[in-house]
Amino acid sequence: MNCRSEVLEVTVEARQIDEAMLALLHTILLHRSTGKFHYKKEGTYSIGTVGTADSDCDFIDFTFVRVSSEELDRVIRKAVCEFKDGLNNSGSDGMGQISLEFYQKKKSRWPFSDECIPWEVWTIKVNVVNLANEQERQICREKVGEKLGEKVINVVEPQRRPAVSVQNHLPDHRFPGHFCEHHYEETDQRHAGAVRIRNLSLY
Amino acid sequence: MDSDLSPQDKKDLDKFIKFFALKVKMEMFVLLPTVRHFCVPSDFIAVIVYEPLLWLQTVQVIVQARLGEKICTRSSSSPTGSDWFNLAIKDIPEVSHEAKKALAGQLPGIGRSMCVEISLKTSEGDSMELETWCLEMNEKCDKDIKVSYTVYNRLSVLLKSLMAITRVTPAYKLSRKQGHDYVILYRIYFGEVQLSGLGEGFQTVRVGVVGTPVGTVTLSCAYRTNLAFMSSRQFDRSAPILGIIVDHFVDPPCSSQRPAVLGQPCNYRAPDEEDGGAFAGVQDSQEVCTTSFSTSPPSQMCSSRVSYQPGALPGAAEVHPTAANAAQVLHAGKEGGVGVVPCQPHGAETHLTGEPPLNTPGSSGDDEGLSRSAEERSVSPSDPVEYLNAFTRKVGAFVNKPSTQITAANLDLPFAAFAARGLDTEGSDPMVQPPESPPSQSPLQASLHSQGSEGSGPQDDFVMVDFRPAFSKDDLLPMDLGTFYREFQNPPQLTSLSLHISSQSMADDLDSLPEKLRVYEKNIDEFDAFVDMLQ
Repeated sequence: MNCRSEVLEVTVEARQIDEAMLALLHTILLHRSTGKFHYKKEGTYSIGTVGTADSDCDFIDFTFVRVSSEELDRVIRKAVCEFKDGLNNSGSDGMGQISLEFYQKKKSRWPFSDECIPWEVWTIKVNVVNLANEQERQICREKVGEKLGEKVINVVEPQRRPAVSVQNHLPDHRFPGHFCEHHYEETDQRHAGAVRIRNLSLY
Repeated sequence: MDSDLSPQDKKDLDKFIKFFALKVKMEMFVLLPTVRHFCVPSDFIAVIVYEPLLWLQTVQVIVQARLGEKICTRSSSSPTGSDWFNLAIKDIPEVSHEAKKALAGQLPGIGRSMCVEISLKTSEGDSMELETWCLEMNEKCDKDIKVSYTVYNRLSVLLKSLMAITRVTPAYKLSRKQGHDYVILYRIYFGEVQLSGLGEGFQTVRVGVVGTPVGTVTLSCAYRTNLAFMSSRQFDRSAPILGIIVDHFVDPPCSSQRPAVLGQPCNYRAPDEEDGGAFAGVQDSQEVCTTSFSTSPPSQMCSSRVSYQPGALPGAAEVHPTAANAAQVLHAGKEGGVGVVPCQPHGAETHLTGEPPLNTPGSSGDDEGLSRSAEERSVSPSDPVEYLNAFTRKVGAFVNKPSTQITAANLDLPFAAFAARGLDTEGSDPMVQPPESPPSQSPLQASLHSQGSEGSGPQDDFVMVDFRPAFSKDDLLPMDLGTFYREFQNPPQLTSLSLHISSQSMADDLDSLPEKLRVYEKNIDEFDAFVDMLQ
């Protein structure tokens, strides 16, 4: 499988898990989102506009930019919340990882099912720490903010390399302004791409 | 008509037609963004069209990220005429105007980098560069790349990366907190990147690289990491600044012009400055002290000094013309001590080394000084060390030092003015040899008297410094900390402890003894009966 894989590691406090995950996932998705395609006659099409929104973190001294889509934000929050609940209930020592996978869905003829071929996987490893007092929490708040800034820079660096799938023309998708929710289809309906978030392991 | 044209004219006409067609195509491409089918202009022309748009959008993203507020734009399925690179970026007219003015009608290209400098400016006028964003193009070309979609899309990703990175650099947090204390400014310029204003240890981050058929576009940022404020104003006689001052104990950049003064963060004085006022440095130190110690009164660093005027009445104190409050003058006199500070107005060193202990009861040295000063009224000592060495005194609380060890540095003690004075010799012990001092006066009366004294001539050797104890307020109340200090340091001597009176009473007692004895012997029977009754 010719899949690009990126791994990010963060060490956070329990109450910072949500915001740290959201910051990184939204930053990745911002770079992988494009406007909605409108096809016109004679093989022409136009692409919609992606809006952006700043989000301030409450427990981390950090602000990140996300796609201006409430539906996308809900989906991401739901996945992060499930991950956090699994992390708390697993009884592990506060370590786990969550992955954001971009894949192509290759339609197959009957009786074969569609084939999912990932072309880029982002894995975020989380290490949860417990802090004793408020002073440590304040220090952690600033430190985690700085670390997230470094992770954002790490996310930006691979963007210089073109993603395999985006070189193709990207047709319709479900959500206005972006396609990152689940799948997109090419004009010839041969390929379809999708995005999914998987909680790989809690250990 | 063609037969009338020469071959050269025909060539020129062809060129003109081609140029005109190209111009029309470009205008159509710009005016019809909704039908951007990417097939009309050539890749080369597309890049020429994209470049200035990229420049303008980059400036907009950077400047908007430093406005100090959260940015929120809406996604749209139908693009508008101003939505370039498939991104909803607000277009601030002032920023566009500034960017176009910086472009000055020329297209940025190879060797002509566009830089956006972000700086911070305080309300006092101090400024500091925070970061510099640089958009440049080099000669490395990617001729095989398809401009119509690939380059356009990559430029879009580049702008998204720019949005993300602008929220990560330290200047973003500062810009979110800007207000009346400081503001964030931007400046656009072309040419060589200027990074010298970012201080030492600045960091660089590459936002993105996009290859095009005409060159490779690179967007990077260099940001300051040392955000401590180094102000050049603190070495001028100016108002205190806000922010963090890092050179409390470090020589300023222009240290070569400064005199070699030991540890004088609060009292900098230029060497070529004339000392118009005898202790102008005091006020300077007060001013700088206000900068450095904002919660303490200015005179805390200067402590209190007392000038003794031999020519005047004992106990008189002269108010130095530079004293801030003539009414709050420390009484220097009478039974108490004498604080002598010969006036040598040169730099802060004089202030610190010439600081004497103040009046405390029971100091023999002060009495000696009183007597000596009465003899040497016309003498104006020039060297404070020699003059002070004439007294045998203690320096510092509970410390005995011989006179030979008394130096100017020894006198430079914190709160030495409040240190108790000890007795050096029995001969000078006021308990044994009471000084001939006038009746006690209140400090205020003494100061008022000193002000009205006509006998005092100009005393250049002594200075009176307004006494302001630490943490005290203005002496608005009748009984304040300052008043308490003065009275505590100059208490009237107890009459019973007065040697003259005690000796006198002893003599009287001795004289009256025989008579008392006769009376007791006469009434001895009554005393014996009283004792028997008690038993």
